[in-house]
Amino acid sequence: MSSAPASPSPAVEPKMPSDFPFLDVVRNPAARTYALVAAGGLLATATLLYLFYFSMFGAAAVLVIGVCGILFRWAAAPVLFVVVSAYSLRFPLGLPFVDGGVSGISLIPGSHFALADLLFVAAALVHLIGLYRYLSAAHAGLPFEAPPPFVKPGAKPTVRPAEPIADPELWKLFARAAAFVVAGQVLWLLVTELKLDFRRDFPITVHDSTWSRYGPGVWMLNWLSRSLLTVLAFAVLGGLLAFVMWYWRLAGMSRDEGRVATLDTRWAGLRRDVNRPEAWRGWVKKKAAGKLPKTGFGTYFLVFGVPVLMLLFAVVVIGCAGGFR
Amino acid sequence: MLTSRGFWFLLGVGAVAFWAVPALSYSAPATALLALSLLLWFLFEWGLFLARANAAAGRISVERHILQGGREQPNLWANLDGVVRVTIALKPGAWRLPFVAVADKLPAGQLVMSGTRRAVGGITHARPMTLEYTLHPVAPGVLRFEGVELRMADLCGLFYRRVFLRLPTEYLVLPTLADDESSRRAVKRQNALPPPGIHRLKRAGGGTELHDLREYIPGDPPKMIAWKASARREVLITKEYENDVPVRCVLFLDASNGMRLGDPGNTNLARAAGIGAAVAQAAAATRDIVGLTVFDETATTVMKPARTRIHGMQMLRTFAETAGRQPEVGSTDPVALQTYAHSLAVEQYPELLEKRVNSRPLGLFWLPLMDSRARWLLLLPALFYLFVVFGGGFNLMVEITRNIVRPRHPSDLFVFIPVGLLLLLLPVWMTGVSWFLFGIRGFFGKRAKDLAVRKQLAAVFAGLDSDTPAAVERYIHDDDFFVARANRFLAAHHTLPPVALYDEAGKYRFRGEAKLTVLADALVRSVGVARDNELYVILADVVELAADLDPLLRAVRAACGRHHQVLVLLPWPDDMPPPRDRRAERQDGKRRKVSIGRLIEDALVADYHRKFDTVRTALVRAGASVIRFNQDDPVQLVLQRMEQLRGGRIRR
Repeated sequence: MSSAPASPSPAVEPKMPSDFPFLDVVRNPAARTYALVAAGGLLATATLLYLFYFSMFGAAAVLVIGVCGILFRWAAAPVLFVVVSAYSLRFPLGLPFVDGGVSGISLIPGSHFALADLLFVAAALVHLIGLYRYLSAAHAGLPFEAPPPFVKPGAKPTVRPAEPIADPELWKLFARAAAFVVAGQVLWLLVTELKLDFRRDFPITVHDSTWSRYGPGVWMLNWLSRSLLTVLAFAVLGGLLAFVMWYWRLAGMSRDEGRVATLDTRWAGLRRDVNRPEAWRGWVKKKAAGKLPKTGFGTYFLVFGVPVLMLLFAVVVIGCAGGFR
Repeated sequence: MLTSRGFWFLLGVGAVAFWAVPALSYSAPATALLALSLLLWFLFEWGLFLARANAAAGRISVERHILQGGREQPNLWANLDGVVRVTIALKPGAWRLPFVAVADKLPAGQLVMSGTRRAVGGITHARPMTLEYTLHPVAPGVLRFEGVELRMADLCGLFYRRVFLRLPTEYLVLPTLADDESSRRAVKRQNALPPPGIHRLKRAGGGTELHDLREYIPGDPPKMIAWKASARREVLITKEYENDVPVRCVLFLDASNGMRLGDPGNTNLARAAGIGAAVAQAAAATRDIVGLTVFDETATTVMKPARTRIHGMQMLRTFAETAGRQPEVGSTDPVALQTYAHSLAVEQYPELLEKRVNSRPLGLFWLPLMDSRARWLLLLPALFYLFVVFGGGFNLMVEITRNIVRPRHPSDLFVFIPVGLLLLLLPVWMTGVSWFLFGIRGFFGKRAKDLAVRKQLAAVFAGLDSDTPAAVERYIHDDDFFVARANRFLAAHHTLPPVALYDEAGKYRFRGEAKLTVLADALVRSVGVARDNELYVILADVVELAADLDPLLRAVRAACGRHHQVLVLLPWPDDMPPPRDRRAERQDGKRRKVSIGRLIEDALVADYHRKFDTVRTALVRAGASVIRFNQDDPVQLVLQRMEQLRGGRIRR
């Protein structure tokens, strides 16, 4: 009885679903589905870039980036996709500061609910959402729990389990993409049709004439108004959302959270009162135990050296100034 | 909150929007449309994630069940597989969580034998998440399950939140039930054994074995008259029978700090509890009476000898609870303790460390500068600067400016520009000097960071204890107060910081001299209330106390003087070779490669053997028997001693 019976050896715990070989993508229903969605969005984006915006360079570039993102699960692909798309729209030939002949003032009035823009933004949104969900299912759905220095070499992050995706999820994806295309257009309409004028009582007004909105020079002069209105719109939306969520979370605090929050608030109010006796008590105990930190050179320098230097400095300054009188 | 993926997306799209909305919209409005649509989508995803997380807060239920033998059990048995089933479900009011990863936190020292304690997927009202895995506790003690870690993210992996669903539950791991072999008597010494649970005592009593004959005394019952003997002697002779008394065994279990050290489930205390439990069960199986005394450096807990079933179960519970006691290591380094306690708090109390409930005001970062009285003198140069240099300097700058604007001489510029810069930027120079003195991390370096961590832990401790704000300040400034609470916090969560076994003088810190006095008192008390020759089994670590054995030796002598038997079982370190092997090693004559490490190890081993020999010799001379935990079979040895008591005779 003295020697404990041999305990069975522990089994190797099944690993969390994580990054897997590329060929397994076709066996993973979630990854497969979203890879197809992202590929569809990518193809549509490239086609629209080529057909409506006359950017062969842009079409080829986003195709390469998107395909690399899908094939190699390249985490930077979505952001590069956005940047390259924006660049291609501005410089369709791919050469900086060389317009492709599509720019012009005439485009601007048509930028509201233009079919080409609607389709392009919708395709790009579908591609991005699909690509991000594909990366969550095939590359990393959750970040590492530990900070980077503590992540074990070779560790793989957790991904979404390989389960079939429900139909509503896909339909919601397409519906959201369509909704945000319209929302973006509405926001763009607002920031271009409204004008900030701080000389008025109410600083937001509507442009009075088309010429003042789109006339040569005026458009460029309104960039500040557009920018400020965009920032204002997102600040209002984001701030409102943050406020609602903050209050919601505040209302749903647990008992422990509430207790610590109340205690912290009271501590902040009473800190000046309670700090002094406790600091002295701690100091006396440390002194009695001989644990007070030793005074080093830095302290002496700060206490004696710095005042002396400042005094000398002041004398020099005053002396110099006096010499010039 | 925001994953790196979300951060880079926001940065990229934000940069495009920053470029597109003001300027690019002139020639390529689709760019602005794309950027605005993406930002709106990002905002929506953020709101949706927050809404889901907020709706789920406090509405996620966790249930834990432990099954052994296919049935739910309130306790576990050592050396038997136990199935842990954890169910994570959403209460009404919570929204669906599409993507979560959950992981049940294992009790310290336990490994998953089968199944898994992790899962990934979605949780809905109709489809809760269930984890099922098997544990195999090998030693008695306490298993503490802290709760379940839950990480939630949106489907795109842009946002992330980690919560810890605390469900602290403790399960006793009762010692293994003794099997038939261990409960069998060790040696059959004679054919006519008394009934189980008793032994014959050669004193007149109410037993069945004839003890003696004596002359009849008026009042003796007639049935006791030995008629044949009376006829031979022609006087009435009365028969006397031997006394039947129960065999009693009292176990003394050492629960001092030194016994509690070690990996969970692999401590000397757990082994001692296992041996004691096996002895108790084997003795109870033969209806012997067993008692238990648990002692440490300060107190004893006594269970009087009894033989009822309830008493047996209570003893098993006591063994399990004792084996699960955490060592009070008494670490006195506040910074080290703070590191461990903060890690634990980050893991299990993440919501209590968030800045919205547990702030870290900026004042904390300059307070350390005022730690010493001398540094308060820094106020003087500050005041000097404010009232003299700054005030006078302003006036001087007017003069300087006048001279620079209309210099009387070109050399004026070479003097006044540097002087003016020095004067105006004096705080910047002072900052540079401070950085030079206090480190590149800032004015106050590690001390300020430690202070911020200390404050957050202090608020957590005070919050958990429902304490006052003054307690927060006291935790910050009083190291002893903080150390005591941090030790309790860690012990309550079965987390043991690294233990320094030896002090600065090289002395073993967990000798526990005081426990010998406590043990001796307990032994003397037991002897005082003993009825007959009893067996005292001491399961204690006294090897390091070779020089302090006097109280125990006196108690052992007192017990042996009353014809009781004392058996001392000593734990033996796993990595320590037994004495016999060491002697054999020395005699084998083989030359070994000598190294410093080997020499030190040999010296330590020799020292331990020497102490063990000293203790064994002293105890044996006092009348006790001494064996090691890992020597032979201590349970059988104890049972054998009880058997000797059962069939033996007392010495007159």
